[in-house]
Amino acid sequence: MSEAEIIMSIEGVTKKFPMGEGKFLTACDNVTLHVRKGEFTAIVGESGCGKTTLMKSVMNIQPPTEGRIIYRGRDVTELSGEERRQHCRHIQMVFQDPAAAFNPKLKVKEIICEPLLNFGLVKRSEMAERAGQLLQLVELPPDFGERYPNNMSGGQRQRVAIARALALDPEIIVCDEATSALDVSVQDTIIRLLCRLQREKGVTFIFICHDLALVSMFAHRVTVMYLGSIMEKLDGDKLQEARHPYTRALLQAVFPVEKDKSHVIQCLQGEIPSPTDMPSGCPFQTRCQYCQEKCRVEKPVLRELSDNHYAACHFPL
Amino acid sequence: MLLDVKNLDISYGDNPVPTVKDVSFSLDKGEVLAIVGESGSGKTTVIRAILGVLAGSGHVSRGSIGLEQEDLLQLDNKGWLKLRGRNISMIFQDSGNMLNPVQTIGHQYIEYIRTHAHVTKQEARQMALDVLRRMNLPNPENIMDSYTFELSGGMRQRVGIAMAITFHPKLLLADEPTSALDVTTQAQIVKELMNIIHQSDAAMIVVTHNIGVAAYMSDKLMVMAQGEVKDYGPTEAVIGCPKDEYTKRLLGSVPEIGGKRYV
Repeated sequence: MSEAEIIMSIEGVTKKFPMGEGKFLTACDNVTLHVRKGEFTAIVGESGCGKTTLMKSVMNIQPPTEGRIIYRGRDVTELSGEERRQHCRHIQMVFQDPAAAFNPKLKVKEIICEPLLNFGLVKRSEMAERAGQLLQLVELPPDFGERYPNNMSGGQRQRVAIARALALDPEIIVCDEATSALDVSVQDTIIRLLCRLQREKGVTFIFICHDLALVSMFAHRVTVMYLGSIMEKLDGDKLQEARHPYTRALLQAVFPVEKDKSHVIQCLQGEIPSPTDMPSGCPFQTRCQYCQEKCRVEKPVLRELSDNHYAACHFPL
Repeated sequence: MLLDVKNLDISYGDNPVPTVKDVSFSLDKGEVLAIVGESGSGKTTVIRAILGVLAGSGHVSRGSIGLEQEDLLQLDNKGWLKLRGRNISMIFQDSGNMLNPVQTIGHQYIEYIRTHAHVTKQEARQMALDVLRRMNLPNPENIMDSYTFELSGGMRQRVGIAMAITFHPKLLLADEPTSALDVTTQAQIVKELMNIIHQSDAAMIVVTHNIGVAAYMSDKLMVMAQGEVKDYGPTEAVIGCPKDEYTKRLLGSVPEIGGKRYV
């Protein structure tokens, strides 16, 4: 795979939320990640691993406690006022629940054209036509513009959400669990649509997801997070070569459709520890069956194991 | 034969067109049936009908449901009360929602046991602790004194399962038992459900949209769409050579590790 240009680098982002009594909840701990142009960068992890917090920093919704996010040579966390508004043109977002992402009193064409109106890129009289074009791009009939979001199915609503994200012709689209609320067959069609947009329009996607199996279908790069830290970074087509015990555990927890007796479902013991009192050393130590003395003392840093493959583990498998 | 459902139609209100059409299946002791389908396919409606708890104006408009030769549709309220929670019990998607958030788990658990059995509070508490311990819950005493929101999703689900198996039911109904959980917790819960089935001779109907989980757990598989049964048979047969076009499409769209790639 040839190396595409890096268009965004997240450098050492840490986000701590004050919990009172001098305690902090560490949602992201020193996360460093590069997003390459025209690729699907997937961030995978279970609930509470910090993937959404990281994206809120990228979207400039919540500034990180420490660290920088470099995009077009600027640290986006320092933008304010008009500069920050202009920054929104280049990064757009698709949310998990399309039913909650729209104003139910707006028609679809108004929803889709709202970002364009905000930036004065479309006249009100041209709205219907522009909305029609965007709807066709997401494989919906143009006359959907006259509908309201609540008389559409979940899949159709998610397409409208994608059309809205595309309206400003952004460079990056962030999808936060964009298919988790959908049925599998609908999920499949949405993923195909995203892949088509990536191919034809060269859009860069940051795809947040909890489903490693889904991500293995289309992601160029996969980042696995656990308790706010990156555990492993690798290429999407090499997921099965994962060497971090946590990534392995995630892979083994997927139930295959074919009833294959040789596939043993391995369970991790216990549960995710509370992020308010993180163990010192490796975040994964409490559930790792290979945990050794060193893991309890020293937090492993990301090391390069081979090309494009990094793992934060003292003893990678 | 433990459960025998024949030509079941379920309608809502006065609608002449049934929501669920012509569902038939049977289940023996120790067998697991999985019903898979997408939202709105009627899979939850079917198991709700077996428990006699159809929502709103829902009612069985045709067919029969027999549990050990007893026709469930002929039961009166008293009959249902005897059956529910003892012979048939249900595990919900999020057991946290099933429980009252302003009462401790112990309070509700003891109340549940004493509704169905003539025991003292102390005896009921002991019964509850024993079952919680069987579900690999650490510190059952602590859990009895906790409120639902103090437990994690996986622990809440274990409490829900513990409550459902307290009286060794003949038939367990599980409605999306792992859908609200993370993948690693899902694997734990699925394994524990399978242990329960292997240790007792209870039968189980599990409703899920996760086809992988359904395939792993079930002996028989039923695929539903728009209230109709699209495919039904032994799990290997349905997955190995699906008869219906819809089943093929559904199986084709399940993401798998090491499967097809779009880029």
